[in-house]
Amino acid sequence: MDKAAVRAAAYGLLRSRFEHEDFWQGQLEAIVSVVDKNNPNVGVLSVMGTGQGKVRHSPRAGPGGIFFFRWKGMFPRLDSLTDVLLLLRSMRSCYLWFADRCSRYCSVAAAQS
Amino acid sequence: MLLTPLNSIGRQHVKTFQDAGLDCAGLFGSSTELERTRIHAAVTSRQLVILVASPEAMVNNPALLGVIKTMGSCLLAFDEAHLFDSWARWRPDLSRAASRFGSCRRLALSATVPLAQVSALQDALHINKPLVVHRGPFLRRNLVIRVIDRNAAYAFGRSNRVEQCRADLEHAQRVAYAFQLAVCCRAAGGNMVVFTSSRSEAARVGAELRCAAEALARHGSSRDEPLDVLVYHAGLEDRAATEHHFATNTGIVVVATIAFGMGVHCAHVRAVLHFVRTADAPCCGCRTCYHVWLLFVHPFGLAMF
Repeated sequence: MDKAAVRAAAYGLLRSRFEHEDFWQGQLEAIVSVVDKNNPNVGVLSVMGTGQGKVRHSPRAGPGGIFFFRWKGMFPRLDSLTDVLLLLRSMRSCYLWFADRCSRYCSVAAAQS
Repeated sequence: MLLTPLNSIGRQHVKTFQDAGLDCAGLFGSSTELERTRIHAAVTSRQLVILVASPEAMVNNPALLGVIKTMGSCLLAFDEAHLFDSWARWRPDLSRAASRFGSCRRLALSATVPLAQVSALQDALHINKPLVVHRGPFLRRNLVIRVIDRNAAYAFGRSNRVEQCRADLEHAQRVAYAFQLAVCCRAAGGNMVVFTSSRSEAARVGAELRCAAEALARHGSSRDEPLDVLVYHAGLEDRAATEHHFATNTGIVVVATIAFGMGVHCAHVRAVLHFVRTADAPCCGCRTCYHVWLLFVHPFGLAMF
């Protein structure tokens, strides 16, 4: 089967069985190579991205963020008021630790006095 | 013959071929004895056009392999071909399966084969030289890939209470971001996948997302039903039900390890969020580097922000 016949057969199968109008770029070339009559043990590697059927444009790059403070990952990045509240909430253990230290210090100071 | 190391993709291929009216069957590790017998009979009588199989199922079925070698196969195709090289160390049956077939036409299909690995892949798949290579376009207008640099505290050891506090905050921020994204995906009529690095983290994030969804519904802020959050990892028994639910319904969030659906075609996925750096992502290995949070998002969902 020559290349033109392979192309015609591939298009016929694509339209009749799989109901697609055209191949993605690179697909037909791989098919033609793999059924090459001159090379019965041919090896073909086809590398292409997947899922190119859904096409939609993005008007925006993505969510922005407000950098309250950040230095080489040492401090948390706060993008919204929710993040600030989460920061305060997650620092609850620090408050408890600080209160514990204060109470110990006060009790030691009271004992010394 | 079509060999694929991922069973979920294999089952999807079988369905696609059968829907197109082709005589196709799938042979996987979970196939029953009756299915194996039927496939053996179909191959022997030359009734089968395409056999989709996992490498392990082929290697562990020497009788069927012998029949196929005797009768000969027109084409041996490898789906997700890069895995036959990169996963060969922990799944040696991948390269074994490639070597069990005689000389025939071979087609390797992949989306991620760097130029430097073509030779190694050719050896792993036992493909004769010279190899014909076709490379298609990779720029996809329907995808947006965002990498958000995050606090490194979440990724490393927590030796004291301050580090633990920072890690908890970082975790809470990521869960909140994931929840916002999931709500937007549902509003856009799609699903979302959150990939985590471990089973325990998948369970934790799933429970927190579910809790947040229920809290939102309880406070009357949302008129819809609570977000449908499912957890998926190799330790769960109901994985097939989760896969089917995800493939057939919308408004679902699956929190999973990498065991879930890599490469599966699902048209209504609007966002894929990598909660932490996965094994496939480059590792900086240094404490001062930023921890990357990979976010692969569909513009339909992204447009909501």
